[in-house]
This record gives sequence, structure tokens and C-alpha cells, in this order.
Amino acid sequence: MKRLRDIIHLVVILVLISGTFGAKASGFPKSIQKKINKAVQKTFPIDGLIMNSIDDLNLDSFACEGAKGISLNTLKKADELKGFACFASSKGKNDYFDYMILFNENLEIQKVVVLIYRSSYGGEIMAKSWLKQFIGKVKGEKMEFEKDIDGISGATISAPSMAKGIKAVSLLLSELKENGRI
Amino acid sequence: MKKGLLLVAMIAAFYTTKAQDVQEPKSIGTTILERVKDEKLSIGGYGEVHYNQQISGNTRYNGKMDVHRMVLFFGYQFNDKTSFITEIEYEHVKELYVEQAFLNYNVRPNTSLRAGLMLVPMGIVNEYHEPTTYNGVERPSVDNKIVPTTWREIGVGVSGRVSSLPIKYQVYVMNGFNGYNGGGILRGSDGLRKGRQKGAESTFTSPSLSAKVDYYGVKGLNIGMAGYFGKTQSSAFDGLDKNDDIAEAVADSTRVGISMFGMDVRYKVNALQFKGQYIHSFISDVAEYNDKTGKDLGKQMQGYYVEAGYNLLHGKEQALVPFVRYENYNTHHKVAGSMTANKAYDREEVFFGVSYHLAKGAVVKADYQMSKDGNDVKKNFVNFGVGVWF
Repeated sequence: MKRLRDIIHLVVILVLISGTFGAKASGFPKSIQKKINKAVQKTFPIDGLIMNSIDDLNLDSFACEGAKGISLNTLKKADELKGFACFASSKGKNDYFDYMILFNENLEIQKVVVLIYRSSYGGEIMAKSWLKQFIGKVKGEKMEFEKDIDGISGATISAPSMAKGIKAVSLLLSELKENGRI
Repeated sequence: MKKGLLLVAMIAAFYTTKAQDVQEPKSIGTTILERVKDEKLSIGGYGEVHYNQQISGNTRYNGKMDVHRMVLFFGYQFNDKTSFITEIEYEHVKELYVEQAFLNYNVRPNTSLRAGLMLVPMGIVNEYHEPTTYNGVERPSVDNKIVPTTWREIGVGVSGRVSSLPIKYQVYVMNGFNGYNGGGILRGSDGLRKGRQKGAESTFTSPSLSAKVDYYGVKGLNIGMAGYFGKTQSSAFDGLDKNDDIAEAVADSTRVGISMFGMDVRYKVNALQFKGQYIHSFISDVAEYNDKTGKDLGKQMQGYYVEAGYNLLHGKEQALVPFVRYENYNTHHKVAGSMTANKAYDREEVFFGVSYHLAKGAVVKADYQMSKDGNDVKKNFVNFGVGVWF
């Protein structure tokens, strides 16, 4: 019975560590905001950078296969465009996961960060070593999964799904730019 | 300084948007968190149909054709944090099982609590068992005799990721194997396999602890370390007087303690894929258990395999992967008391084969299996199968 007590203790401690009681009911979790800030700062080391959402786009008219809930934002210093921060979600086996793609003003991908990964499986796509593969890609070119983008063990569904989603966002941005809408 | 500025900028951006947008204030955060509300229900499945034919020597053998598994997957997303996942399995057409059924609650973006019928994280295949994820018609033998896949029990625990490191962890307190149900259940030939309770009116005497840590920081490489600790369950305790120490001691001889350690590696570089796994189980109180039940359970069980494959169609939509796998496992690695190890349980196997992925999620497989035991008894098989995962 001592063993049982030990195990219960361990679980209680683990639950406490995982911060169950600190979880907020709504809003943007601090840790995620921090992640966004850090990624933007590191990619665009510019003081006074402002992120503004582009709201007047009717994205429904675009086929964005593999990406949902897309939100596009400009990154500007004063009126000078420095790049774009795009948020999107793609689906793993069961759950959606959210990520941010940072583009420079020429629409080249500068960074991809997974912000929220919900499923217990497939989170291997959060590895920086894997996400690096998207850097420098432009116009959705050379982003074929398993040809240009290597897979990752443990994320059989999430990895191709994310590759598809990022490609869709990249294509969307180039199309919007060609049409002069951004 | 920069950080502060950015934060200020973001807050400013937030308020500007708020001022402009009359309908509803929109921060970047809330737009992401307003998850896509549709597609709450996910349906999927996997299945495999096999043909196994023994071909060794001059003896004639009948083959076996089997719908080995057909599994239906359902996931339901109640809200952003709460989901339920289940897999309903038909084995050999007529045996019905529930392979997984657990409630998942994301307490934080990288941490979730789970409770219900869950897979025990040990080795590669127990968790990743869909036919398109491994080579060979049948699952590796180590993942049958040493890790009793599909190994699942009812329990509760935490599954999460270390936010700043490429590390995933799982810790569960679960029900364990049933070792005694009026008679002994565990035995030498397949170790713990018969003791799996699979969540079906399972007997619970004391909890077991299961944990796994996975590292995925180098591109193409996954390394896993797992441990499982606990005593087997036993019907002999039911109805005992709590103060009767002697009766308790007698009942205790129907149980064994299990400590299982596992390590696994997966590595992919371009067309080349490599997999390896090592599992070692230490079982305590085996002599008493065998005496009491007349069984021949080993004191230590050990098994490993190494596999290499090469995708000839790398970069294409289809994949054609010839592979070779060597397996070595012994359910009588060490035996207890005066028992002598049964050499027939010291087994070696070599597989040559090919997996042809017609599309992502659809595979046709063929392999040639050569097995040999410690008595030098050899058996050869050809296996064919089709597998799907969607």
C-alpha cells in the first residue's frame, strides 16, 4: 500500500507542476503571447514594430486547402512595411493546431512557430529542426511534403497537414499581393 | 527594451483595432482562439487483412487468411480543451474490443490530463500501431511477446511537452496485468500477454505506473525511453480479512512484480529509414508464483530488433520500401529458482520484405520470415497483407 501512496503523491505533484490550477478560462495565454513576441522580435529585430491585422480581406473567396482560421497581419515600422505575420490552423488526426508564419516584405518565409498543439500525438512538428525547412520558401513553391519537406516520425498526419497549410497561406499571400490587395 | 516596445506596440495595435472595429474587439489572440467550431466529430480507422503461410521443410501446412484487425476511430471535440477519443476494434472479424476510450483535457497548451482506457507507452508499435506506420505484414514479434501490443489499460495521467525543448512526456497510473484468476495466467511462452485486461471488467488490486519520454530535437531522429512498474492483479485478494496477515501472504504469492524498461530509436534521412527497439523486463516473486500456479513464467524477459528500409520512390507520392529486420527475444532470459530455461523461448527472427504505399494511408505488404529458436527449430513463413489508415 505504500507504493500506492507514493504513486498518488507523484501524480498529485505532477498535476500541480503542470499548472492545472493556474489555467485561465479565457483570453490569450501569457505563454503564447510570449511565444509570438519572442518569434517576432528575433525575426525582425526592429524597435517600434507594429502588428496590425488586415481586416478588409474577404478570405472566404480563396481556396485555402489545409488551412483554417487564417488571420493576416502587417508588420510595420511607422509606415514602412517590414513583413507579415500570419496565423492559421490545420488539423491533425483529431484536433486542430495553431501556428504563426512570419514573412518578410518579399513574402519569403522567415519563421514558422507552432503556438498551440492540442493532440497528444503528432506534436513532434513543434521541433525547430523540422520547422526550419520552411524558411526561405516563397509563393508556395518547393513545399511538397516528402519531396521538399521531410516527414517526421510520430507526426504521420500532422506533418503533411501543416506543410499543406503553410503552402496554402504562402500562396494566398502571393495572390493577394499580385492583386494589389496587400 | 525591445521587448517592452513590442509589447506596447501590440497593445496599441489591439486598441487601435478595437477603436476601428465596432462589431467586436479583435486581438490576434482571440481570433486564433476562436477555433473553428465545426468538424467537432472526427471519424477514421485502420485495418489490415493478412495471409500467413508456413513453408518450411517437407511438411505441408495450411495457410491462414485473416482480417486481423479492423478498427474504427472516433474523436469528439467538446470544446477547445476537452476531447474524447475512442477506437473500436474488430479482431479476427468476430472479436470485439475497445482499443482506446479516454477523455482528454488540455489544462495548458502543452499539457493535457487524460483518463480512461489508454495505450501504455512502451516501445514504438504499441502507440503507433497503424499498418502504414511499420514495415512487415505482422507487427514486430518483440511487440507481441515482450511488449504485449496492443497493450491498454484503464488509468489516469498526464501527457505533455516541455515548451522550450523538443521533449514529450507521458505519465500514467494504470491498472496492471491480471496474473491470477483462480489459476495462473502468465506463462513462459508469451510472458505477460495473456494477463492484459484490456479494460474489460478488469480486476484491480493495486496500481501500476507507466511513463515515457520522447526526444525529437534532431531532424529525422526520435528517441524514446519508457518505464513500467507495478504488481500484477490477483483475484486471490478479493474478500480477504484486512487483518489476516497470513491470508494476505498466501494471496501475495499469486502476484508478481514487473519492472519493464524500454528504449526505441527511429531515424529517417532522405530515403533511408532506420528503427530499433530494446525492451527488458524484470519480474519479481516468480518462483513463488510458478510454485503456486504451476506456470513457467520467466524471471527476466528481453527482446530487441533493428530494422533498415530504403524508400525507392523517395520524393514521390507513392513509396516502395524494401526492408530487412532482425529480431531477438527471449521470454526465459533468466528463470527463477530451480527451473531451467526453455530454449524454445529463446527466439531469433529475420524478415525480408517490401511495403508498397499506393497512397498515403494505403499499403500492400509482403515479407519472408525466418525464425529459429534455441533448440535450432526453424520455421519459415511468407506473409502478405493489405493495410489502410484514414
